[in-house]
Amino acid sequence: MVCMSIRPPHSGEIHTTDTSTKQAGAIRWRNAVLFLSILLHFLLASPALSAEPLRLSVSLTPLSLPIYVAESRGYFSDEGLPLTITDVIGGHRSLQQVLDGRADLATCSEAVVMFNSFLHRDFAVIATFVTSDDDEKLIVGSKSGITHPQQLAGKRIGTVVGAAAHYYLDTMLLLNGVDPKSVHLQDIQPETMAEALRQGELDALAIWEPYPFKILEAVPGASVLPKSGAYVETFNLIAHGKLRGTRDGDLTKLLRALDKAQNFIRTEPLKAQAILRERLHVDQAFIRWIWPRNNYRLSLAQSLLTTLEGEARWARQEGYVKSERAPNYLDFIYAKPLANANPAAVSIGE
Amino acid sequence: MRIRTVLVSAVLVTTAMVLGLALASWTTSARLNDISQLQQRAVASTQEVSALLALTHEYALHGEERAAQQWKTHQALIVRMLEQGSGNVEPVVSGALLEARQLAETFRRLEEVGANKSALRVRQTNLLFSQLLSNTQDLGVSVRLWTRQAEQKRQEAEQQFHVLAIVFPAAMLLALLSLSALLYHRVLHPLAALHRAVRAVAQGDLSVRSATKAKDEFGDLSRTFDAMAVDMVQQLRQEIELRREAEQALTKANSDLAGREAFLRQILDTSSVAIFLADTRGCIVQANRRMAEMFGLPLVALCGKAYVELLAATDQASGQKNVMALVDSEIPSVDLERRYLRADGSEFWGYVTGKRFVGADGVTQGFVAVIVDISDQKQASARLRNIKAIVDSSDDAIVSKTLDGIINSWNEGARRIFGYTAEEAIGHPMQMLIPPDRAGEEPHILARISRGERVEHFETLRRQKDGRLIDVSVTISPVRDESGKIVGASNIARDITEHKQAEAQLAQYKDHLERLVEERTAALSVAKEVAETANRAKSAFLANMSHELRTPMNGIMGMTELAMRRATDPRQSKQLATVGQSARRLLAIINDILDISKLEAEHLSLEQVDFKLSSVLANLSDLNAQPATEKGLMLMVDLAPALANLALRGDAQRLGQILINLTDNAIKFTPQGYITVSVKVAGESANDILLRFEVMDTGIGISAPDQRRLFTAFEQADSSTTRKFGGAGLGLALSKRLAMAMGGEIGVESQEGQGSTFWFTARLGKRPMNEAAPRTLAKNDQAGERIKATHAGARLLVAENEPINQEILRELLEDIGLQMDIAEDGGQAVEAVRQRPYDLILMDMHMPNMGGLNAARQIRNSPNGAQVPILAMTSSASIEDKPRCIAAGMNDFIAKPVEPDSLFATLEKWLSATRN
Repeated sequence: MVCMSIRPPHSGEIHTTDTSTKQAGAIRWRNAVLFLSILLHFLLASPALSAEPLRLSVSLTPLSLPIYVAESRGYFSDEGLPLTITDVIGGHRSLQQVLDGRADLATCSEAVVMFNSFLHRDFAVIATFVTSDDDEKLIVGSKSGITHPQQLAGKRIGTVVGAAAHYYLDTMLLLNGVDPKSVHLQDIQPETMAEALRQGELDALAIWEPYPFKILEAVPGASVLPKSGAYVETFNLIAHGKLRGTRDGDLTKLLRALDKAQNFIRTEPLKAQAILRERLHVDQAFIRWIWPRNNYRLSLAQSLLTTLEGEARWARQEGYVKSERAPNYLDFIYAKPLANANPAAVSIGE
Repeated sequence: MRIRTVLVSAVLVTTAMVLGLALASWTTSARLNDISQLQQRAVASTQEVSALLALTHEYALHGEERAAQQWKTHQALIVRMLEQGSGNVEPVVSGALLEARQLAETFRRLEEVGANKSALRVRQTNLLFSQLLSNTQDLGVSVRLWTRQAEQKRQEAEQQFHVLAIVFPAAMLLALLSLSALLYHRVLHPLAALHRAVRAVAQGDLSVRSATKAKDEFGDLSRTFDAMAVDMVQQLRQEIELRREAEQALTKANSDLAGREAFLRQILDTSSVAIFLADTRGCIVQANRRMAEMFGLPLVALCGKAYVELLAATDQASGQKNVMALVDSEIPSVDLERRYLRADGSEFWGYVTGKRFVGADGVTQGFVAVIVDISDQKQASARLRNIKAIVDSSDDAIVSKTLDGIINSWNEGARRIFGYTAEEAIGHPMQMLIPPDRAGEEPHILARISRGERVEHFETLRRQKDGRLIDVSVTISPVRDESGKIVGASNIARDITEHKQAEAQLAQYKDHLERLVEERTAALSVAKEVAETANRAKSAFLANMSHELRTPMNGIMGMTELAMRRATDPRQSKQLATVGQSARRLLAIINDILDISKLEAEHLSLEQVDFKLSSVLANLSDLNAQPATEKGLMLMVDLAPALANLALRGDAQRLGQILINLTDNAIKFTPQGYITVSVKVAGESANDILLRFEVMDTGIGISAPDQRRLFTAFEQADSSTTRKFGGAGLGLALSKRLAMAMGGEIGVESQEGQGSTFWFTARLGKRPMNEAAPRTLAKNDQAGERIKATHAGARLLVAENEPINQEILRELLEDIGLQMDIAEDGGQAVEAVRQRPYDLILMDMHMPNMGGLNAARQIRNSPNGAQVPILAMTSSASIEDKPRCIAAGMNDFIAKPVEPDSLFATLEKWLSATRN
């Protein structure tokens, strides 16, 4: 009854800030430059060529606000950091781009890190830049008649398998006495959820913001079930393993820019909200909906390790991963750049 | 501001400052205390969270109730601490408080799950423990952050406290300094200024003011002091003013006196007369500058000198007498002319006026005198006397008159000429001397005089006292006064009656002579006209003669040529050749005559054609080789190749003519030996070249007297030579004229029996080498044959009145297959062309009724005649006719007598042109 495999999500790429991709001529030119770069790389093997722009794949969510602020305020360029930003829907897709070699950096929840830690070893968390205890929501359609999580047993529930929403769903089910194995779980991408709920193909959905807000607006009668438990979701900056030790300087600059961005969010919340509105194409009602529960703070805390390990135990227990033992998550933490950028933010002992 | 106010304000401000600082210091200290307490709580919370974490692990491991109890106690303690801390409204503290409360909820769920026996118990417990642990760790992070922030705040407060510790004494110091400055600026400084002012006034400087503008107590004191000083100054000023006015009045009186003295001195010094004061002894006491100048003595030397010493020796005695008389009051004054003596010994005339000088006490102190230099007046009157004597002794009447014509002077001469005495004339109008018929002269003369003009040697008639008229020559000049204004006129009149009579006689002689000359000139003019007519007649005669001679010559030569063409007997041919040669020689003589006549009439024009010397000299050789050879002479031509082919422009025919003449002569007068013709360059410019031609022979030579006559027309060196060698004597004269026409000269070098060298020069134009060479006609001797082949049957019109010529032309033309019609004159030719078209017209120039030119013009205007070639035939085929022929519409020329080859060549050219 439960989909047990973790499959890579399809791309879901929204757009890239590199607008030249829209122009064939520019593509040819870029290809030519790329070819020359590769050729020269092989001919000279010059370390100077490693200073290519870092490619950051960003999940399109209010949690990514520090990145939007840093970009909008020019903090990255102030640091002299060459950076290309690509938007995708969902941290799972963001990390997948890094794993596929299409991006160097990703933003995703710790749940995505946990699931992928069983399949890949070549990435690491370099910082947590936000925590939220209210980002994931459980939504039910009006036709399902569900008013309490206990009524979810046997229902058709859609979520992004292998993402934080998936973990949140199981938490809700378990803490409300419903065995997750008793529900019809469907792996569904966020873009198609609203339509599935409206058509009555699904009874309930577990998904992150801003989709709950949009679905409530789009599907009449849909409602959010009250939360249970104390799941605090983290959103993290992930670096590909190849950057470790080779681009520490750039990573430090990146984190320094994000540190400035979080200060800006704390001191100029209205301006930060304006940036978010513009970036996600949402209105102030949505900001009021999500703002109070998001804690934008740069950190690498011991609790991240505890959460990863707890979620890993859950994943093995529930049978989502077939592995005898969980990995050592210290191998998935790279604290040096953050220790350089803001030493007080690191509270993980090695 | 008043000093009192300032002082009170300063004290109040300083007190406020001290109090404020003390308060700030106390507040900061209290805040520091609070922060320390907060920090202690934050540190305690951190310790509590660590304990809570340990108890969470303990409970998870064994589930002991004791652990649960302790966990709850610690959690409650943490919540309390955070609640106390949240008074600071720190976001981090409120966040941590939420986290801490959430822990209790999670722990409660954990206990709940542990109590029930659900199948999901283990999975639920795992999940909740994991979350509890993670959340507790997050709380730890939050509390540590709180601790850090508290530490930061404490540091800030401490820093604030340190700043106050520095600011407080600094403010005290500033207050002290400000008060000191105030004391100095508002009290001590003005006091010093006032002190200085008081001291200055005490020392007499009343202009000094304390000048304090301050509105305080010192300001009041200063102003009172300044007012006092102003009062004192005013009093002093009044006194000074009074004293100054008195001084000014005195100065003005002195200056008036000095002015008057200076005025008098000025009068004395600038006076144009000498003024002096002498004492009772007659010694000069005082004199002016003019006096010193007058006598040429310095003023110093003049004073003390006796007056009489200044007089000329002759006047000294009477002078001394007068001085005494004056001083002794015998005479009241003196007015005299005296001769005086200058220092340089020269004398001058002076007019002296003296008067006794009596002092204020009534005692005679001497005399005052004035001397005027009257030398100029004396000289002028002497000159006037002199002039009068001259005027009176003149034979001419010298009279002056006013501009109204009234006589105002009359000399002796005037009396002699006109008979009136001076008394009778002066005061009367000049008009009385003028005869009535000339009354208009006087106003006219006066008008000219008024304009400043002079009338000189005006000859007219005047009437004497006895009524007789005399001839006079009058010169009248304007008389001007000193300013140049015309005030009258002077008349000088001379009696010229006798002179006039002599002149009349002379004029008679002259008239007679002129008549004689005119008669003679008229006679000469008639004679000249006769001579010129005769000369023209001669020229016309010569021209006509040559024309008339040439016409039969045409016949002879033409017929001879025809006969030769047909002759088969060699002997007959030779005879005919001799006839032809004789005819050509005769024609040459005729041509020379014609040329000479033209040259004399200056009608000969030179052609300008392109040629080379080689062709000219080749032609010379062709013509003269045979006669020379026949005489056993050698004829040599010396021509440098460069010169031979030099492209030249000029009259080649005339150049050849001179050479032929000279060479003919050489052959003629050389019995044996050789003849050399040579050419040299005598000069050259960019455009032309001067060539020297020499013909040297080994002949009989010419004597010096004969050489002089050689180049004169109709002369030969020896008239006997004519008889011996033949020749008309025209060749050298013609050659001379031609050489001169070519800008050259001609001459001969010869000695009797030694041979002769005739030379001439000619200036010829240079032609660029690349210019087309002179066009040469096709070989002529076959022209007749070609005409026969190509133009047989063509019809020509021949306008020619001479029957012989008609016949010759008919023979020649029919011989080459051409048809011809004859026109007897121009009129017939025009009519013939009107009747039918012709292929070509040969037109004689001289025909009766209508000449060739007129006929050509009319033919050109007729329908058949517009295009037909018209060739002029003229016995004088000279270039001067060519422009007239072209203007009349003719195309080309054929020279008479007609040379068959030349005729045929020209015909061929024009017949071919028509056909094309």
